[in-house]
Amino acid sequence: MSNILIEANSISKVYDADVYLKRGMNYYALSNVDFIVEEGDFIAVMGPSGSGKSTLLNCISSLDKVTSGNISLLGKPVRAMKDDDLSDFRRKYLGFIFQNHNLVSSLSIFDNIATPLILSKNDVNDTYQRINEIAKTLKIEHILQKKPNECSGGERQRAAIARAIVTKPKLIICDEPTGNLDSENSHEVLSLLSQLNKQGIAIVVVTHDSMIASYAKKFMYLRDGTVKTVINRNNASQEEFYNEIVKITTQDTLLKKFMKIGGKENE
Amino acid sequence: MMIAYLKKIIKSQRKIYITIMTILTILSSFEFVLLGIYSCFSESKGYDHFLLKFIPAMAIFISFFLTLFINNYFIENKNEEFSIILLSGSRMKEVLEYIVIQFGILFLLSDILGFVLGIVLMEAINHIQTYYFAYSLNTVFYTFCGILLCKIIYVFLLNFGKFFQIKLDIADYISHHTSSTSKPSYFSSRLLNENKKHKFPIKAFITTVAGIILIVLSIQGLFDNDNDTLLPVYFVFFLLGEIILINKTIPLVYDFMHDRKLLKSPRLILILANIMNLSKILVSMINILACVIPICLSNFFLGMMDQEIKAVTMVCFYILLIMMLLSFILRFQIYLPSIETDIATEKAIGYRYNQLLYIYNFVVIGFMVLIVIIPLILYTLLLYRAYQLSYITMSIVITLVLSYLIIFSLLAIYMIYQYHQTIKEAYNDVKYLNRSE
Repeated sequence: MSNILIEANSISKVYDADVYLKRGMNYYALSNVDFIVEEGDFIAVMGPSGSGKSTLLNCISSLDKVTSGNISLLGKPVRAMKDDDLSDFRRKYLGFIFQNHNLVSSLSIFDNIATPLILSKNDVNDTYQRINEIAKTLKIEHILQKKPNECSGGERQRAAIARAIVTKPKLIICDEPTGNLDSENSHEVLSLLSQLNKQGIAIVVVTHDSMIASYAKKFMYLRDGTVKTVINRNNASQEEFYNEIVKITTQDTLLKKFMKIGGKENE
Repeated sequence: MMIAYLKKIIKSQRKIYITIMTILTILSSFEFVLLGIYSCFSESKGYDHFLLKFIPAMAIFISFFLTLFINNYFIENKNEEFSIILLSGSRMKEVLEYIVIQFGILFLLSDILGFVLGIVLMEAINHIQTYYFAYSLNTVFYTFCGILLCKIIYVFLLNFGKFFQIKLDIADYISHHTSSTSKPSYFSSRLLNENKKHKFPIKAFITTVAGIILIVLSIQGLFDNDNDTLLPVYFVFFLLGEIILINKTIPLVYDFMHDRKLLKSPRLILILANIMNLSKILVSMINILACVIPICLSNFFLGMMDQEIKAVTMVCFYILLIMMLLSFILRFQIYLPSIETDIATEKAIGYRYNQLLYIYNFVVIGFMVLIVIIPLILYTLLLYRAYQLSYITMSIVITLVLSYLIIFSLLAIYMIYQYHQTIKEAYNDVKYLNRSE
């Protein structure tokens, strides 16, 4: 049996369908992107702002629809799946960590973390046990009864991480998961994600931080909605992988700068 | 620079500005009508005429406070704007300009329009009613301007207050604003850091029992034939008991049901949490509503034989109900954007579209049962008792109950429609998931 969780073939995304009529050309947030997530993968996606990283995450996680191309979730084409099937897929197999925490404001932190388990009709005793364990690991025991607006940014982020991992999903999708954390907490979170990955959970993380990306097994660089570079870590150490990532991102930044200067000179 | 910034703000929030402007205009026109009625009896003396002045004066008072409440709600959403003005290093003169232009013009324009609309409304009321209100336009104009001045002074003071509050604590406002800490729940004994068992929430329990006793006693009182003059008082007791139940008992029920029911039902947990949230958001409105109805009913009973009092009370009653409806709508409209990200998140973690529609339909139904239906049953009983005791005619009973029912049914329909629109938009657009705080 195939161990592919998500497969995207030549996917493109245009947000404003009328933009062609208005400007005479389409603005592609994603253009002909191929992307595969297999069980146990750890993929880091980097790229400048507006390069399509978050769009890619939204599309592969079935939160957003693609304009063209095909996406398959566990071998089933998304186009053939109903909205309820997609909700069930997200509930069963995915965990999300958003940049802005996205905790439900009317629920306590405990209830926020418990929600995916409640949706899965989990046993109440097991729910308590799981949440207590995760809260201890993420050091959020003291905020479980608080509402999200009573917690600091770091605490909310850790609560969001707890909610993403509490169901032991097959894939965790992270959009800038350490955006609100200091470097020590960021590395703790990444170590936790690495541990989960070692247990077989696939992880896709979007980040601007090369150090965070260096925890991954595979690195993907996006620019202007297209995949520019993909490298695998293979047997390289984290430091070697980090250096390689820095080289790619720096080269791209410099290239962009030179292109701008060149453009101005030509004008 | 400040004017350009203001233009952008108004452009981006056009819908909310138009709503506020419309509601403030309608409230001003009602103020005009109430002042007109008041001016008809301002020179009169005697007990009956005291009532004739008291009823519109009370309505003007409530209208004035509703206008200020609306401003408060509006300002609640201005933290970010004020923080940006402060961070951009604006001078005091510019801040003054920003507040005066935005709020001064809003109130001035709505009052001018309200004045014109008020004249039209007054003529319409005189046309429809058998009783003619011969009001003095001059007197109304001066009092109207006086009230406008008071409102503008209050709004400016409130805005400056808010501005300086943010200035003193800018770091807190731009990072996160921590509100009061939630009390530990009864269920919390099973949490890891809660070694000792929490005490039974005796205070909340006693308050709940007190609320229930009040309700039972008031229902008994309503059926007691010997105490017919105390009917409105029993109704007040009933509403007081119900407010206690809404504020204290729903959180208590939430805690008690938490492990037994809520952790097993993905719908129920969100329904109850959202009803609690909505009640908290609309608590001021609920309290005003709880005052308005008994006062109006008392007036009906006190002036049972007087046609003038009946005419004045009837107009004021309708005006107050419409004002309450508009204020509920505005508060709700300001509240809705705050749940867009919640709905988008609920989608991401696996809630189905139909599940969300079901949840938010029940939030409205639950809210309406607590705030409207239960008081309406008692209100109908009270009116029926008043009819049995020949205080009012059956046609008045039917008119009052139907108007109340129609107005709040409109509110329920509006709330359900708005929830559906918000769910549709937040469910289908990923921008609500990635929106920064």
